[in-house]
Amino acid sequence: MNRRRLVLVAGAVLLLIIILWFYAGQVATRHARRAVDDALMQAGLAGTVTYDTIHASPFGTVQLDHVAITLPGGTAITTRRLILSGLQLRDGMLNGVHLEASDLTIPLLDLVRQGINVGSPSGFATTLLGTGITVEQGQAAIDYRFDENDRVLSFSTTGQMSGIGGWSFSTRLVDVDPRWIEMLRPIAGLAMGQAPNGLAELAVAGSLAPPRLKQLTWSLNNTPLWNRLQLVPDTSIPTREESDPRSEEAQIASTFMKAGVAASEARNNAKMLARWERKGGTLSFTTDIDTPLPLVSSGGLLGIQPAFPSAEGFVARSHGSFSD
Amino acid sequence: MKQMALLMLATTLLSGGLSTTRSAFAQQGAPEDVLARSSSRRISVLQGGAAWCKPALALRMVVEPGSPDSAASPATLIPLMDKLRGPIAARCPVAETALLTLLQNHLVSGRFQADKAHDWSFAAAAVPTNTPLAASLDELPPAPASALIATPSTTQSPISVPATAVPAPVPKSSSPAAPPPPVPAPSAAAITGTILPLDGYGGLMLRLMHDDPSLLEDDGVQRWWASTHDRQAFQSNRSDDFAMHALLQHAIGDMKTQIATHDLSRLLIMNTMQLRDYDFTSHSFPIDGMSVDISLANIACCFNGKLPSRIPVHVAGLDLIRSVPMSDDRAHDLIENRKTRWGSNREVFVEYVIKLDDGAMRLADYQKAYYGRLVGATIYGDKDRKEVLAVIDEALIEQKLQAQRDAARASAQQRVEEQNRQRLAIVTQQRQSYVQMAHGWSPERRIAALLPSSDLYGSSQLDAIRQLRSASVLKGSSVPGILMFQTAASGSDAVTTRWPGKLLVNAASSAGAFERGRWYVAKGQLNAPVGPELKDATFTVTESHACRQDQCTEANDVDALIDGKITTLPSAGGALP
Repeated sequence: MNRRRLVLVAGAVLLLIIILWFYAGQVATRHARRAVDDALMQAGLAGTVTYDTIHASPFGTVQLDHVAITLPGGTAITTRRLILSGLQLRDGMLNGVHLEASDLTIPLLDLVRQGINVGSPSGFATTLLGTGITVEQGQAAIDYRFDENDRVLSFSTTGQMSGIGGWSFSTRLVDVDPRWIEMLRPIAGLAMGQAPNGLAELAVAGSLAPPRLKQLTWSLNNTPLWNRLQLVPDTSIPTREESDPRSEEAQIASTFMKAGVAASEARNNAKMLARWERKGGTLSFTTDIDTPLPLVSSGGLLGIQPAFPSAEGFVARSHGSFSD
Repeated sequence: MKQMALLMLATTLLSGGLSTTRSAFAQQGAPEDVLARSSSRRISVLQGGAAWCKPALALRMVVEPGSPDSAASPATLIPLMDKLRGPIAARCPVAETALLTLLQNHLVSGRFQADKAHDWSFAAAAVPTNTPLAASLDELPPAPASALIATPSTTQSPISVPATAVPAPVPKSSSPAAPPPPVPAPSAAAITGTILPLDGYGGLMLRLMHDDPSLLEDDGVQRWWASTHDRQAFQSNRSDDFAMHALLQHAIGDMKTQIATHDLSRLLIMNTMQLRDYDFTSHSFPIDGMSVDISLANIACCFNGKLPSRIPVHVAGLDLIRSVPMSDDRAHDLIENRKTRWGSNREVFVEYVIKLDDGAMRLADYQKAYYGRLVGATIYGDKDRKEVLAVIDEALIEQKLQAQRDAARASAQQRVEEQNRQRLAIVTQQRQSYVQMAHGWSPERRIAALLPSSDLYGSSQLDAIRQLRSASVLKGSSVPGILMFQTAASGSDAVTTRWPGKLLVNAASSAGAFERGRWYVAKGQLNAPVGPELKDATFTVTESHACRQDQCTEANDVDALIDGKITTLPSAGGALP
């Protein structure tokens, strides 16, 4: 009898949990919708970023279906599903978010036709169109965390696109003054086409302690694009016989060594870079930093300037190494 | 009435009067060029010059304006033609065949033929109506003159008709079962019998009213019509509003009737000219040519409203008639008969027949005008159009127009060639400086300079396939470009390439087919398809140069490159700098 009652109680509890779960989901979805809509409204993106449906779980994961970012001219970058999780807000500041976009579609041709600058350096869009890439499809993810107490900022992104290839990028900064994050907001606003109302704040950046780099890793795989580039040359006459790969490597290695990279590491880096330039494929870079490196130093027109005079100098200071 | 006239003509023909001597004709006032004439019906048959008598005769039957037969069906005049068997037999025994051209209202309305074997029975000829009657205006036989002007022609060429174009005539009475001879298509005037050409300003106003019916309702136009067509009633009713209203209403109906009974595409204009001194070389009297742009002015004064004071007309060929061909003897008689106390009266009246283009007036050179072309002209000795000095038909005018066009084209071509020659001389002198300049060109510019149409400044440049593909994708259609490529196959359509690859080339024509494995530099249009897969682009070549060396390295020989360009530029259509 007791056992039967126990089963009934357990069933009732389970049913209650299901109801609560469902209810909590409803509440969470309602809150999430309101939060997303408010955020878009405040950012002035209510008509620019749209979605069809939104679902939220009680644990904080929000899923938006058929999200479209409509750019001036009417062209839209779309994703079939955008998952937003780990959202951390504090006093209006974004301290953490994880975004995953699947079935991401970028109508490259339409964007270029509407005069929207795509890619950098200039001519990248022309290169893509010239090799027949008119629409890019794939997925991408971004993860951003900022711990105010430890003053640690982590940022990573990964993605894979059909035409250009894949990438991963991860970095970790320490000693990040929250005011740096404050200053990034107007810069972000500028990128979205808003008024540059925060440039003045950059002038005071020189007085802040610079954030320091603890770790940086990135990897690029340009195989799909590389294959297309070989099929559609960008010269009007066939290029002459390539120069000796070894001499090219030696030249790169020499540049690294002049910047302070150890000889063996410089040769290895040169070999990897030269091979990637000749054959494409995967190129990875990772740092080995004992003491975090300041990213900026005082001076320059804006009060701050990069702490590394060149890419080779950065590799030397960060003990970075290239691999395939 | 017609039977009576036929009888009179036959009587004249059979009387033997035409077979008399030249002096007798001159005395009688009958022109020797006239083989036969009916004064009552105003029809003449012309011999066609002094040397007219030969086995193949070429005659002209001219039905003068105002003749009761001017609108008759050409077939109805065949009985009259048959009456020519007597004069032909009497005056030209060697004649075997005869081709007779019938002109009504200045226009060729039919051609008929007969031969001796069939007793000179005329039947319609299977000759195109636009067969030229003479090689040029200078060879034009004079039209019948009035009784006062009649001298024989001794120098004019006979009318020439290709013998092969004249089939043997079918005798009308040889066989009852034989089908009737074909009747040439009559002119519009002949069909209706009432359709008249437009005459001068008043006539052209009918065309204008037809094109713009609102003119019929215009008070000024109505008053102009009433005043010129019923002057007496108009003058007497000027102060009577009601009578004038009735008169103007009548004018509207009258104008509508006149529009319906006129050939609105045919315009006659008469102009007075002075014969200049007789030209014994061309056997003609020179006269001033008209301008092709004329304005027909309203000589009746002036009414308000929409009535135009003048109507501009542009007539192609109006300037062609610059002489009145006439034999020496006849010209002599003309001058003699026109002698006055103070010299001689050299006034003639030229009636131009103009075919107007369809449609309303159109704008050209800042003013609207009717457009047309000259299709005929008659030069009269008198204002009443009785004394015909010469008739010029459409075929001759067209021949002259064509000659004028050919001459203009040849002159333009000659001018271009001369300019090219001069420029080539200059370019050749400056050769060294061009060579020096070309040494500074990039390899891409030198290769592009191999194209025949490229200039001496190296303005053309090779394009890279990637940039062209990008431009084509962006534009969504073909883009122009210059490419160097190496074929992977032969042919002229969708030829694959080894370089740059992903490219198919189409030759400009099958004559310019590509050879397999050869390098070319070519100008054309590139079209790149849009799609997820990288597909072949298509390059449609409009101009190409087949290179002698791989990758067109012959372009590095700058001296040869410049020399080749200097040599070929004039033939490339005047592309000299």
